[in-house]
Amino acid sequence: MIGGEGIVIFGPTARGVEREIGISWEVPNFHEHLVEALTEQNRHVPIVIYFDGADQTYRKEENIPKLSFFDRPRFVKRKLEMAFPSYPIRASLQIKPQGKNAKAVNGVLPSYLFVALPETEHLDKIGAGLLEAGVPVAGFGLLPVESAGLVAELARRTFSPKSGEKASRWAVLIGQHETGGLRQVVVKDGNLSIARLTPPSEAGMQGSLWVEEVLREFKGTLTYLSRLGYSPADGLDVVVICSDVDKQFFDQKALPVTNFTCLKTADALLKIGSKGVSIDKNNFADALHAAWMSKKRALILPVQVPSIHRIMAPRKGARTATMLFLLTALGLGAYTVNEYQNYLGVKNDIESTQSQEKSLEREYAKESKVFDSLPVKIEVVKGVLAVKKTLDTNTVAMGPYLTLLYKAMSSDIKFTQLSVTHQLGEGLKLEHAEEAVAGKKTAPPVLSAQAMNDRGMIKMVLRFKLPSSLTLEQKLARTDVFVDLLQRTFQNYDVKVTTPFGNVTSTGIFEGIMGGETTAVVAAPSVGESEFAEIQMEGVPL
Amino acid sequence: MIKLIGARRVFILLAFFALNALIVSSYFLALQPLQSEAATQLTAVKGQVSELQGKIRNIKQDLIDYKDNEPRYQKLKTMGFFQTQDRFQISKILEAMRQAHNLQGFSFSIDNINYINNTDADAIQHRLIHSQVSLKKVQSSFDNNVYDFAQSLAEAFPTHTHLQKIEVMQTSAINEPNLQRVAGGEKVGFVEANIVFDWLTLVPKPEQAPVVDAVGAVPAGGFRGR
Repeated sequence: MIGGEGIVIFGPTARGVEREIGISWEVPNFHEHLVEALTEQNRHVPIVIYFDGADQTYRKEENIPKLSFFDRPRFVKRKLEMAFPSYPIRASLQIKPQGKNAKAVNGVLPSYLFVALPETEHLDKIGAGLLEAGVPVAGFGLLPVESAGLVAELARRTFSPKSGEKASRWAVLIGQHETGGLRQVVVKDGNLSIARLTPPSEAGMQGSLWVEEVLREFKGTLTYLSRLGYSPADGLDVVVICSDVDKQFFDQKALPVTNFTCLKTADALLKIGSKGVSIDKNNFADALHAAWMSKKRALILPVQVPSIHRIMAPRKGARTATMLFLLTALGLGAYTVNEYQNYLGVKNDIESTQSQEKSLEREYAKESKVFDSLPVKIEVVKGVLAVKKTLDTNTVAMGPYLTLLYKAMSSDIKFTQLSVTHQLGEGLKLEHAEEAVAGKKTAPPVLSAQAMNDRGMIKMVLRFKLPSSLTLEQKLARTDVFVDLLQRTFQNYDVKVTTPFGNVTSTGIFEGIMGGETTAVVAAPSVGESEFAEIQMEGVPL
Repeated sequence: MIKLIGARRVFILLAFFALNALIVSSYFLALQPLQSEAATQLTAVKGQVSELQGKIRNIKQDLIDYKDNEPRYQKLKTMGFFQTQDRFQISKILEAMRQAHNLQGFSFSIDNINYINNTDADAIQHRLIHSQVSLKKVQSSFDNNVYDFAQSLAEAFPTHTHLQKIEVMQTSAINEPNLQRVAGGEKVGFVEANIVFDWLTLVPKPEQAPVVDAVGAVPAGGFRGR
């Protein structure tokens, strides 16, 4: 905590805070003391800087127009610069209505709290100390802004309204700070309303004179409150951090407030669920604010002080980078371990597969032994059967043809000569066999599937006679009938009369002599020519 | 910058950076090659297992096929499919067949053995040999005897025969004088036939010409008989 008189360093304990050291600005070796304090007592916990000096300036800016998400920050920043043109350190905070009023302000334009402070030598000293100490910096905040919640919470826990009574809208926390001055923080509906710091005076920091000063300064604050719209009906709770002795000097009835109480620092700490270590018996309120800060995760209004920010940002970046590296290392390590386990899994798979391979090899050897012990090789059996199949494909039983032929021949047809021939298909052609006999080594012909299934051709030649009582014309007609029957019997066969009776046909060349010396109407054929006819049939095997 | 961040913090940063670099390098330089090698080895071993399984499957299937086909093979063997086509054996068979079918007589001739090129035979180091047998002037009283004789060749002869041609001619008229001669116990040949058939068998290939195999010498020339 930084104040007008010096700094006080608080460190975290199990359930609260511990006052580690206080250093006055007037100490000659302030820088060395600060560095020593930060390095020896700091346990690499990030430092939060609470500014409690008198230089800070506040302004409430209302009626900020409703703008888009991107335009509002720029508008507010411009307004801030215009409000505090000569202050290098500026910050703004949107004021959000708390409690019952939250619902009532729907539609009301938002308001902002503007703060500003000069960059003083004190801040440069702090920056130099932080630089040399090498401690991480969490942020820079303003005590009144950050402790607005403390005031409201302390008032709520101290003055719990009875049933039927409503809670006070205003609350004040008054305390003497070791860092210098009497601090008053006034909140209305949980939001900071007034912050006053009275520099140390001759009244001291305790005793009746101090109490009188407190009352005097509080009355001054009351006049400010009336200007800000305070009315007794709103309710005002006041908490003063003081000792039991000082408490006796306060006359509550003399103050126009709703509730008033004095609390020792330790009691106030207990009220907010914290504890103080090494805070002595001086009842400074600094520990209370430090304890409140230690309970929070983040500053409400982080302020960027150039001399501190130039140290804070790189160290935060380094801390972030360290965390990132750590997480990355953990992630990569976990991934690598996982991959290594996968690798071990694959190795196990290899081993089990290799043992499976050995087992299969044994089984294969066993089966091969049986296979090799066969009296005849399987390939030979398959090959022999394939050859036999080829032969069977190309062999035709002639019995069915003879049967069909005889069925087609009626009793008047007497065959004189019958010939049935089967010409082999491509699969058993003897063309290449000649070369084999001659000793030339020829490769077997590569036959297509169609060629392999070629069953050759059947050729039948039938020479027959008809009763001599029939005339030539009747014989020819009978032959035609017989040919038709054969065509129907041997479908898809080429059936033709190669030698007709008398070597004549009913549609071919014909000669005759009508009347005259002989009664022959046809040139007499040579002996035997009209005695038989010959039919040829050719086609694929049935 | 080091003073701004702090020597200790810089050291920690560098240490973590080095740790990350170590982990990454150990992964890419050591672990990944090992993984790749192991994956390759596993693929290879699995391939070998798959190959062995395929071989075992094939062998088992072959054994099943063998069990199914071996009887047919043995039957072919029994039926003489592997004979070397002894000419004297042919003449004995023909004579037996002639008597069985009551044929009066015929002459026969057997051509030289030819080799028929066949892919299946070649694959098992065998040769398909072929002899053409011609039966001339097969005399019979009835044509049915001739047909029966021709059709019985497939069963009476060693496997395999292929009937190439059967030619039947009526040589004597079926008239009363001839019928009386038959009644008198004389054998009258009303029909005469010519039959040509092929005899094909499968014999192992000799290692070198001339052909000598386990069954016997392959006759080189033709044969005639009656």
